[in-house]
Amino acid sequence: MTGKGQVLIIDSTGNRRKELRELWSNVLGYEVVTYGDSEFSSLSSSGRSEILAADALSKIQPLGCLFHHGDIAQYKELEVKKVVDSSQRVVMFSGVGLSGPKPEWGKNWLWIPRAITGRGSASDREWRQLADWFKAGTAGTANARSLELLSVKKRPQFLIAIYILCQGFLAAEGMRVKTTAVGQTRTREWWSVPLLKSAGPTLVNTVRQEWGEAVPDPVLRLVRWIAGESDIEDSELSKTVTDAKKELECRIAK
Amino acid sequence: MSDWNELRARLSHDLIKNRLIPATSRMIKVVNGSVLADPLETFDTTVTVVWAETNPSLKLLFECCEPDLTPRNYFAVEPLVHCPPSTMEWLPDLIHELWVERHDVRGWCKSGCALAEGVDTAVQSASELLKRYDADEDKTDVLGALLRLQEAAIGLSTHLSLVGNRFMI
Amino acid sequence: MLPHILILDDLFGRVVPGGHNVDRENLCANFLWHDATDDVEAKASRQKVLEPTANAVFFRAQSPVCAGVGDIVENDIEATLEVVRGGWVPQAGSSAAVRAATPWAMLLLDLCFYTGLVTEESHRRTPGMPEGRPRDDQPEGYFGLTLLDAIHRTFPELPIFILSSKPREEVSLEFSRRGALGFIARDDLRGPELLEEALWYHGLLPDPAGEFVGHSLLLLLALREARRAAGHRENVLIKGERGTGKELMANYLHRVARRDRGRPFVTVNSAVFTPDLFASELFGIQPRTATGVEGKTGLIETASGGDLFLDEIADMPPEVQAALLRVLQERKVTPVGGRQPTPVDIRFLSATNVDLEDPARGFRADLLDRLRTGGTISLPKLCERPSDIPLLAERFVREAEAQRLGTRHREITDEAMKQLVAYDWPGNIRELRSAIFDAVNRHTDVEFLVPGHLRLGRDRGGKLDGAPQAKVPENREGAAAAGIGELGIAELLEIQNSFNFDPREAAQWAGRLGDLQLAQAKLLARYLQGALAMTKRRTPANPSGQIQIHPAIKLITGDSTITASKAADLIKRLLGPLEAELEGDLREAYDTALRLRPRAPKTLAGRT
Repeated sequence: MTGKGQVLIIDSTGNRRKELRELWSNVLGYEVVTYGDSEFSSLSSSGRSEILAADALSKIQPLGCLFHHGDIAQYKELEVKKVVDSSQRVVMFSGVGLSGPKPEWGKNWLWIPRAITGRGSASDREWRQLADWFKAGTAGTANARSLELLSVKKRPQFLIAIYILCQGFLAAEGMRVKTTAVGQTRTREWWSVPLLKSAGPTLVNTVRQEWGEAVPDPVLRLVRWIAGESDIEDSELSKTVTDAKKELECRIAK
Repeated sequence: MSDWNELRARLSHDLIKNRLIPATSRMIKVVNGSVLADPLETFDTTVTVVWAETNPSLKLLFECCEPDLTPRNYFAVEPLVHCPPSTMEWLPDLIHELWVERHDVRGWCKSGCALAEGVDTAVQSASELLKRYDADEDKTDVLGALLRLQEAAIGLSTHLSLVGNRFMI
Repeated sequence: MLPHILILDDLFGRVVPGGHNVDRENLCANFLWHDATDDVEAKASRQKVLEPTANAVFFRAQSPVCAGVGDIVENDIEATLEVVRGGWVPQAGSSAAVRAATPWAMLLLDLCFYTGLVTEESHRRTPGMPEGRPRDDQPEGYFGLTLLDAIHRTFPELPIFILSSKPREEVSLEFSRRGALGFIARDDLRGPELLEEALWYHGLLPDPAGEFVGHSLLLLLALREARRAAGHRENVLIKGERGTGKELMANYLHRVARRDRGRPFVTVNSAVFTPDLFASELFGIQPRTATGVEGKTGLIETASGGDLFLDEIADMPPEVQAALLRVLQERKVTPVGGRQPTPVDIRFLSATNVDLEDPARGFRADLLDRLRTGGTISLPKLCERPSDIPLLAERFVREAEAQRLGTRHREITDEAMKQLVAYDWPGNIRELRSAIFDAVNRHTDVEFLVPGHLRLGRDRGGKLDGAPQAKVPENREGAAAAGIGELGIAELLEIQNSFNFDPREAAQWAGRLGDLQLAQAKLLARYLQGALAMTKRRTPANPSGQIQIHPAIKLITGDSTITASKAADLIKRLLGPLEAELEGDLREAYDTALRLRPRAPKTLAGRT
């Protein structure tokens, strides 16, 4: 053991679990204990791997635990619960991102808002900050808000997405793309499928939150239309999208 | 994206501004006699060491700029990951091209590579002159080489600082 | 003496475990600093700055100062304040501490301090540096601004500059709000020049020429004000009690005016000028204005292009004030008997020890305003700068010793020094000088000056500094040139008027007539000597000054009507008995008097 301590990763998604295990052991220098769906195994930073027997589980005292939200059902397993509860800190993550705590989680568990699909979903620096926070070991969530990985203040992903869709729409208008695209982009569905699938009925609020201050009219009008809360005349659509794009460009550049 | 920007900031700020440029200033003072130190040893332990770390990272930075920063990457995450195949067929590539064009990304990378080469050449040239340098001889050539190196480093740092949030989207 | 600068910076202040802080060496080379940190980094440096511009002391402002892999680095305000305190105003009353400490001339402060875990990766990139936490790098989280708050609140007079590679515009409002005086970008190639300028204008620097002795805060603040005033040509008022060095300050103001090197500096004592004298002295006289009158350039015109120092302006007669005001308003001077005014470009440096704003003083408010357009510099009382007393005392001991060849080298004991520091010095530096000279001259065969050798205040009762001085030291603190202290003269007269020769002690005083006459003659010679120094006419051609026997005699007699001939006669009477011993100004005065009045003088007992 390196002296930095142990980290527990609970994730049934094999590739992601492997990537995160390698990150935390080889790069961040921890001894990593993982749980897929049936057994605990440990991997030291020197590369030694072994499956942990039941009587070894009590010796596991992780500084922190990364828990895939999709595997929360495992928390009902006594052995898993015991080991997770012995962690000083528990951080939930998901392949699609998390918007807040869930009832089935433990108390004081934190979460990573963005989608974690592998090591590359966060920078090495952001992972190191998390590792550092695990190591510091003080109780409470006061410092957690300063960690980029756990911060809810993130890139305005919906604003960026809408901006991209605006670009696509205008390119289609300008015939820079094949003609079938032109028809697509003028439909509400073209806009709403990706946005509503992600934000659901909270799209307008999500945009407000990301914007941070009063959302300019063209943007609000466009988003309400996408969300199905209002209509835009077909003849008005191009102008609305053009104006919204300008506002979004300024806002994103800030 | 944040990794690339982190690397860029580290190269520009930590390595070039905080290390390379001050090292060249120090070398100028050593050669002009204000500071007593072994010129070649000082150069090797400061400029050469820093540049040896910086140069490969710069190459990586310019190579990875387009793939790392492309807005195409937004289609791999929420919410655009949910775009239907009919959109995915054309929109990511279009957005990428618009982005490249708008920010002249390739031009920026090309200029950056040229500036990095300029610094590299200046480092080699100064190193060669210092190997043959005798403190009793005329310092003009060596000082000239160090000043050119300093200028090249400043130019490179300025170029790296131009990016900021600009390439974000 | 090199200025001491404190640099608070995580990168430069850190101690590299088992290695070398190359970044600190780069910075020191660039700014031409000597690394005076007294840590392993300074000792391990492989370079030597040949002509350093400052002694630089570095501190990381974090704990631990030397961090390795696995350590967690945290910012440490308390430790930082301790370091700042260690180089700040030395403790009063402690002579040992005072000799060791040199206060910070300036503090240079970084903005961004990285905290957190030192990982293998972060250590590989920059030994001893941690990964950093997100807030470290954000303007709202800059620890440098937090430090700035804390330090400025605790040490409001300490000049602080930001030295950072972060963009200035991120913090330009905040650093001003919190008390920093400026910002130097670390990667600015003009950094060394900018810092030199900053030190000149804002730093707390002692006088490198050593004319002003000391490094107490109040003295350094006054010197800084003088340097700031040196940047313009506005008139400056110098305030300070007697014996605090007002003329010295005027000299300093002139000396540090970098643009004014080589320009004239003329000194005038306002009290000397009666209404009759002032016109001709200040404005000059046109030739043949009256029979036998030769033309003379006035002091104002002589000083044009440079500085005119008006000492004791509270004593300036109202007529003189009115005339001077006209010169200040019009920037022109017309000599007596002349018609054509001459433009003058002159800066007035005035000095006073009273409150000129008090209407009872009768000093014109409009003149006062014009005399201080460039500000007022206040000189502290000596008791307000106790940390300088040991330095001054030692200087005066050396001066006193230098006046007597072959004298022993004296050292002031700690107890004596404590006494000197504790005394309140109503006569300020002049009084300190007198006391030291008194002690040195009365105890010629000792190596140590102890409390018993010191006669402070009234204890010194009427005894004067040793033998007559051939040269009155000029432009030195406590010089008699600025005038005679009333405390001394009153007691002297009291002693003289009341001293009794008790018949029962005739054995003690019998046969001493010659000694008494000689002592009296020497006393009067010194009296004249003081007046000659006071009334000297200084010009660019003769900066040490030309004696003027007529004004000197007017000063000591208080008689402005006395003629030049009678003045010469009086000088012959005063100095005649000491003719063989005369040197310097006294010799010159005597010879001048003889030339004017070649007949033999009357005896000393005769009155004028």
